[in-house]
Amino acid sequence: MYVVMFGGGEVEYYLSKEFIEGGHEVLIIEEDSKKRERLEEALGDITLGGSGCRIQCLDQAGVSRADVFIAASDADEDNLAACQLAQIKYKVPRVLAKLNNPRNRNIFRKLGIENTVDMAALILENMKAQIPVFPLVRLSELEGEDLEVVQVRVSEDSGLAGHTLGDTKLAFVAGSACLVRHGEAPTGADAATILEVGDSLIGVVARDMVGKLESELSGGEG
Amino acid sequence: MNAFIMGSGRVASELGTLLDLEGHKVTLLDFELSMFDKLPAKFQGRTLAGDATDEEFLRKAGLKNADAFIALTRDDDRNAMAAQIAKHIFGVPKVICRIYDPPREEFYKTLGLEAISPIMLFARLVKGRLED
Repeated sequence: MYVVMFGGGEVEYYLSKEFIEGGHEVLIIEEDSKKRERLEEALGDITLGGSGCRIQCLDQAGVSRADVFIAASDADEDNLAACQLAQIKYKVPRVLAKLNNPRNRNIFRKLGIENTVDMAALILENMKAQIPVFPLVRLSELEGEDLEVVQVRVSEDSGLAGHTLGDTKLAFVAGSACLVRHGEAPTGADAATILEVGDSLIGVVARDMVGKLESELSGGEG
Repeated sequence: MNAFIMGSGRVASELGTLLDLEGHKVTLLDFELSMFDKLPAKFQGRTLAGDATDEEFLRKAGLKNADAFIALTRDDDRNAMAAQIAKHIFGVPKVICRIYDPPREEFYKTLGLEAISPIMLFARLVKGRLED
């Protein structure tokens, strides 16, 4: 697979390393010569000086034969321009943009760039996962499906403990969610499952349900 | 006409003033109000400070009631992004953006944007004069 990245920061460094170790061909487009030097010292001759939103540079990078294009510069407008060029002009089958401003997610979608990674949200959800006071953590998204993988934690004040799953606000995940209970093997959760403090439910939920669920669970009504 | 102009440089200032003097409603947008210090004193329109690629800022500025949006900053990428937001999210009927880089002028035209490259414009103008 040929992977072209625009932006040579930390994330791209580790990503490139994984791609290269997996036997894939990688090219990183980066304007800053210092960043290019650092990347080349560690990963070899895999960089190109220039801007990923300039056609001349994308031509030089051979983007028309790329299988994946990742725009991860620090400016969302540059990432949008680069992704639109890669997707429409160069017909790259898989195009991905890093979002610096979470508010731009909707704009990118409406302008045809479906696959985005929201860095701020990733960090936020990772931190929330480490802090038990948050009843709901968004683990991941299933792009193109409008679905999210979420974890719901059953705490003492969640109002969930002691009830059967079918009697709670989470009844709709009965049959599809996975129950994780300390010291036990994960099992499927059905409507008759009695929830205990410390349990986690991992479920796949429609994106527009997640916010609703989050506020209901914080309300502690079960 | 209710026109929104993104930018505070010479072209943006001149265009804003021309439209204002003709009696149109004009709003100029740029990051900071101090950027409008060089506007001609006769300009009576509105100036707003904020990020014109930010959907929320544009909504508060009232872009959904605009008849025209013209993106005239020095940054092609910001111009292209703001112009597409104006066209596809706010449904502004007339959207024009300046794209310096000639190959990208072509590209954005294929996306349905009214893109103008000042470089190509001038080159075509001079060529036309030579052929006269």
